[in-house]
Amino acid sequence: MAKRIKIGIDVGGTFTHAVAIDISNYAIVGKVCVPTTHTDREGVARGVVESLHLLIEKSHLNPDEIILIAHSTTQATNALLEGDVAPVGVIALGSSRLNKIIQRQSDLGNIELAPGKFLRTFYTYLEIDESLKEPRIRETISNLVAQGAEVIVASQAFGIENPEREEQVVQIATEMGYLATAASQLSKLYGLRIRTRTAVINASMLPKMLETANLTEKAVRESGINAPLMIMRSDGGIMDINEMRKRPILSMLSGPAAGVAAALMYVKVSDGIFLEVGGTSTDISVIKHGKPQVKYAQVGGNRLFLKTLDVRTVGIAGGSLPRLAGKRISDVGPRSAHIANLSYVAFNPANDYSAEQFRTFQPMSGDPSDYLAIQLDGEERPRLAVTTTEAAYYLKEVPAELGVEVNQSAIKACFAALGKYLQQSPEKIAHDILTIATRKIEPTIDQLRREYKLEREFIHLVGGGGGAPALVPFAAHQLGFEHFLAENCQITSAIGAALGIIRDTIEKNIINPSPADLLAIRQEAVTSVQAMGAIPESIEVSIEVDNRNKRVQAIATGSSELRTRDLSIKKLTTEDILTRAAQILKTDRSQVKIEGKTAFLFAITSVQTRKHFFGLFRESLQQVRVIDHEGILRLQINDGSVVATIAREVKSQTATIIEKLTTYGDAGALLPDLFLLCAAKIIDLSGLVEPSQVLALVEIELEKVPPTEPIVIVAAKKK
Amino acid sequence: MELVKIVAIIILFFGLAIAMFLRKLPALLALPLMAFGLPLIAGVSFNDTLQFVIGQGALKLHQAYTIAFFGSMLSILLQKTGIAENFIKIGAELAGDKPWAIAVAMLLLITLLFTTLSGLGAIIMVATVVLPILSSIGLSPMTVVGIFLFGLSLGGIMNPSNWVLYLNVLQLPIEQIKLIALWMFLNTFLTALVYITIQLYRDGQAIKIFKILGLSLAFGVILALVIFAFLHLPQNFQNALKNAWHSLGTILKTVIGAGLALLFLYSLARIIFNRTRIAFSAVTYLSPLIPLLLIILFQIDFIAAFICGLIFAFLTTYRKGHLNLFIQSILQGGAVVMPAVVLMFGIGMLLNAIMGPGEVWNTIHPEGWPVLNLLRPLMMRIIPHSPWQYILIFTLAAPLALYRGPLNIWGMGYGLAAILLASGMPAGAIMGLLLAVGQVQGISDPTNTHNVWLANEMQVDVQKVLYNTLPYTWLIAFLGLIISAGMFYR
Repeated sequence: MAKRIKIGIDVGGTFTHAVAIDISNYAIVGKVCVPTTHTDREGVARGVVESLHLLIEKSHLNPDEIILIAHSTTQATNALLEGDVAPVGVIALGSSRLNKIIQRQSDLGNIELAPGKFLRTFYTYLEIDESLKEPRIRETISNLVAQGAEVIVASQAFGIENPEREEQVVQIATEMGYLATAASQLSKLYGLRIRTRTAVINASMLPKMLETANLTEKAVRESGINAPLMIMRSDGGIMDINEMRKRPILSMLSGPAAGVAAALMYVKVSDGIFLEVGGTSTDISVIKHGKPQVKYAQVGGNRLFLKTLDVRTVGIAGGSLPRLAGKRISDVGPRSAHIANLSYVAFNPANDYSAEQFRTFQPMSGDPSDYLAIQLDGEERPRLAVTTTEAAYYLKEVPAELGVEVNQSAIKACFAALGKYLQQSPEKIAHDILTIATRKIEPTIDQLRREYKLEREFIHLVGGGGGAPALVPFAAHQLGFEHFLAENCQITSAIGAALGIIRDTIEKNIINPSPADLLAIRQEAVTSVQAMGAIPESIEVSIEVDNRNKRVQAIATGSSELRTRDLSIKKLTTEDILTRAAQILKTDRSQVKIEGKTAFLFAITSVQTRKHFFGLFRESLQQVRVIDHEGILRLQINDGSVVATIAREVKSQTATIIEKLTTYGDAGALLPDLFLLCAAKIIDLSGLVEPSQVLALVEIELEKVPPTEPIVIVAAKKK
Repeated sequence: MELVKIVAIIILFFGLAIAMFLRKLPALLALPLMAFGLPLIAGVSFNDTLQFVIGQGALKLHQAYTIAFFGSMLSILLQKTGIAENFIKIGAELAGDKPWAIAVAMLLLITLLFTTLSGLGAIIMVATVVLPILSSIGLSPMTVVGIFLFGLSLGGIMNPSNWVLYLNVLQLPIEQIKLIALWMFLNTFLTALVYITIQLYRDGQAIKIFKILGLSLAFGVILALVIFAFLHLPQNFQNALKNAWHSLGTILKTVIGAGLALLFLYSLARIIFNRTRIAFSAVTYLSPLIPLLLIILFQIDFIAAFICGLIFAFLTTYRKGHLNLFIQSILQGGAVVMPAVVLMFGIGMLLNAIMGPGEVWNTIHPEGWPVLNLLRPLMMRIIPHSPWQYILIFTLAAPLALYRGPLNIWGMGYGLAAILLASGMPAGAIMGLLLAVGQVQGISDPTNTHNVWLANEMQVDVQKVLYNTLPYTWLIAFLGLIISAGMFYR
C-alpha cells in the first residue's frame, strides 16, 4: 500500500517549518526550515510554498502520497496590526420600526485596529420596503465604491432570522465584481453592532487574503498535489482554503493555534497547561477534558463575534537574556538573543571563556543597557549570549533523551567564567536565571488555573516549541507540577498543523432550546464540516447550552481520512492498561479496576479515601479515568460513577443516572456531567441543562450504533 | 449558666452560618435548624418553640411569598407567550456594545424607582423588565443580580419611608437625616461603579478605563449637582418645583390611566373582532410595565397589579387554545419560585427565633423573648467611646449583619439602636452605623427575600451572591463609618 502523508507548515515569527508525517505510524518522514517571508510582496505565502517544494525535494516525496497539506498563517494577524486592510462600504438594512437605533448601532465609523491604525468604513442605510429592488442596491454599491470603498458588507437588523436580503446584496455586489460579506454568514448571534463589526473586519482582509490563498493554491496544484489544502483556524482546528476565501477572519491567531493542535493531536494532552516556548516569547493555553479553551476575540479593544483560543503571551522564552544590577541577576528578558542578534553559547563551537569577556549592553535603542552578553576577544560588539537555555543545560534540567546537540563543555566553561565575573557560585547564577524566568510565567499559570477551575492534581505542564527544554522542566519542579515535553519539540507547531482536525463552531441565541433546536444546530455544524471535507464517520459534535447567556453552541470536528493508524498500532493488554492506570492514579495495581470498556476505551475506577481535620472525617471518592487502548489518558474525573451497558439500554440507564445524581441546592436542580464512551468516541453531554436535551442527543448520537454495541456511561455530580 | 447559654448560642449561630457560607449545608435546611436551636438554648420550652417559631415562623413572610407566586406566574406567562423572548432579542440585537454605560444606566433606573417603591412585589416587577435587558448585553447572571442589588440598596438609602426609624427612635431632625443619607448614597454609588467595572472585566468585556473614568466623573458630577441643588435651593423655589412636579404627576396619571383603559379595550376588541391571526401586536410589550405603572401611579395592591398584568398579557397574545397555556403558566409559575419560597419559610422561622413572635408572646410573658434578653447585655459591651473604636469595632463586626445576626436592622438592629442610644452614643452616629453596615445586609445577606428571589430567578446560588458582593459592601461599611465618625465624633 502506498504511504499516506500529511504535510504541516507553520509560519513562525522567524522561521517557517514544514514537516511530512506518515499517518500510518505518525513517523516524521521529513522536515525543513526556511526564513519567514513577512516582507515579501507575496507575503508569508512565499515561505509556505518554498518550504513545501524544499520538503518534497529533500524527502523524496511522491505528490500522490500526500493526502493533506495544512498551514498556519500570520497574515490576518499582521494585516490587522499593521492596518494593511481595504476600506469597507457598509450597507445596513432595516425595517421602518426602529430606524434611528438601527442606524446608530450599525454605523461603525472608522475602526481602530491598533494604536494609530484605522480601518475606514463608508456607510449607507437602506430601509427594507417595496422600493428596495436590484437597481437601488446597485446604485448604492456604486456610490459607496465612488466614495472609496473597495469591499462591501451587508448587515441587516435581525438579519440572522432571515438572511435573504443580505445575501441578495452580496450576490449583486459579486456580480458587479466586488468582494462582499454578509454579516449573518459570520455569526448567528444577536448583537447588530458586534456582528456588523465582525463582518467589516472580515471583509477588509478579503482582497489580500484571497490573493495569497490563490497564490498558494496555484503553487500547490502546479507541484502536482491534488490533496486538500487546509488553513489553521483560530480555534485550533483546520478549514478548507475555500472557507478562508469567505471567512479569512477565522485565520486570526492561526500561529499559536497550530501549537495547541499539536498538544491535542500529537502529544494527546487531556488536561493540562500547554506552553509553547519560542525564542522570545511563550504562548500559554489551557486544555480541559481534551478541549482547548476559547474566548471571544477583540480587535483594538472592540469585541468580535469570533472565538479564538485563549492564548496568553508572556515575554520570556528559551532565548531570553539575563539583566544585571551590580553583581546580581536582576531580571531575565523581555529581550532575547534572537532580537539582539546574538548566538547561543550552547550552540556555538567556541569553548574558552573568561570573566573579562562579560559585559552589559543595550540590545535595541530605547532598551535599558543592563543586558548581559559576551564579547569575544578582538571583536567590536557582543556576539554571544547566556540565556535560559544555557542555564537549564548547566543545571542538567534538560532530559538527555531529547537528542538536541549542545556544546556541554562550552556551557560549563562559560558559567565558570560568569561565576568569577559575578563573584558567585555558577550554580546559583543558573538557578537565579531560571527562578526569575519561572516567576514570570507563574502568575499566568495561576490565573488560568483559577479561571478554568483546573484541579491542581490534574495539571500537567506540557512543553512544545524550541525553547521548551529551557523553561518547562525547571518551572514544573519549582511550581510542583508534573510535566512532559513534546517529542520533536522544535517542530511541534508544524506537526500540529499537519494533524489538525477539521472544525467548525455554530453559535446561536436560543432561549430555552427544545431538543428539536439542538438537533437542528447539531445538523448545521455537521453539514459545515462535511462541506469542508470531513468524512461523515469521523464527525463528532459537542453541544453546549448556556442558559444564562441564552446561547447554544455546537462544535463539530472531523477528519478527511479514516484513521488507518488504529490498525497498525500495537494494542495494550488488559494487564498493561491496569498498570498504566495505577501509574496515572499513583496507587497500587490492586486498587484499580476496569469498570467498563468499549473496543477502544477503558473506564478505570479506584476508590480513594481522603482524611479531613486530622483524620476525624473520612471521605471516599471514586476516581474515574478513561484510557484508550494505546494507554493515553482521555478523561479524568475526581468523583464519579461508571455504568457499563449496551446501546439499546443507554437511554433508560441515562435517565436513571440523571435522576440519581442530580444535585439540589439553593439554586434548584443541577444535572450531573455525563459522558458516553462509544467505540473510540467520548460523547460529551456535560454542557446540557435539561434531561430532555440529554436524552434527545443520546438518541441522535447512537442512531447508527448497533443495539448490542457496548457503551460506557461516565457521570459525575456537578459541584 | 447565662454564660454557657450565650456561648452555646454563639457556637450554634456561627457554626451554621459558616456551614451555609461554605455551602456545606443549604440554607433551606440550615435556617430552620438555627431557628429551632436558638430558642431552645435560650430556655424557650419545646412546645413553644414548635408553635411560635417553627409553626408561626413559616407564615411570617406570607405576604412576600404569596406575591412571589403571582409575580412568577406573570414571568412564566411572558416566557411561554414569547413576549420575554422577543424582549431579549430586541435588547440583544440593538443594545449595542457599551455594556458599562447600559449597566450604569440600569443601575440609576433601578435606584430611581426604589426611592419610591419598596417590597418584594415591586422588586419582581422591576426585575421582569430590567433583568432581561441586563443579561441581553452579555453580563453574567451574577453581575446582573449584583447590579440589581446595588440599585435596590441605593434607592433604599434615599427612600423616605425608610427614614421613619431615624425620625421616631433616634429623634434626628430631617435635615440631618438627609445629609447622612446623601453621604452614604455617594459612598455606595461610587463603590457600585467600581463593582460594575470589575464585574464586567471578569465577565470578559472590554474595559476602556479612561472612558469609564470620564463617564463616572460625568455621572457623579451631574448626580451631585442635582442633589445638592435640590437641597440648597431657596425654600419657595423648592416648593414651586414640588408643585410643578405634583401637577405634572396628576396629568400623567390621568393620561396613563386613560391609556391603560384603552389598551385593555383594544386587546378585548382584538379578540372579539377576531384579529388574532396577527401573532404579536406591539402593545403586548407593555405587559411587564402594566403592573409597575398601576402600583407607582395608582397604589394598587401588588397581587391585584400582577393579576392585571397576567390578564393583559393573556388578552394581547390570545389565540385559539391559548387558555391552556394560561393555566399552565399559573401552575408552573408556582413551581418555579418554590426554592425561594422554601427559603422564606426558614427566614421567617429565624426571624421569630431571634426577635420573638411579638404581641402574642409578650402579653403572656411580660419579661420578653428569652433569646433577645440573653443577647442584650452582650451588646452593651461593644459600645465604642472614641471615633477610632467606632470605626474599628463596627468595621470588624460588619459581617454580623448577615444571616439575621446582631447588627441586622431586620434582626436585632432596632434593639441595638435603642441600647446604643441609651448608652449615650450620638444619634447621628447610630444612624450612620445602621446605614453603613446596613449595606452589607441589604446587598449581600442570603437571608433577604429579595436576594433569594433574584438568585432564584437568575439561577445562581444565593451564597455565591454573598461571596461576590461582600468585599464591596464591607468596603462601603468601612468608608461609611469613617464618614459618619468624621461627622459626629469631633
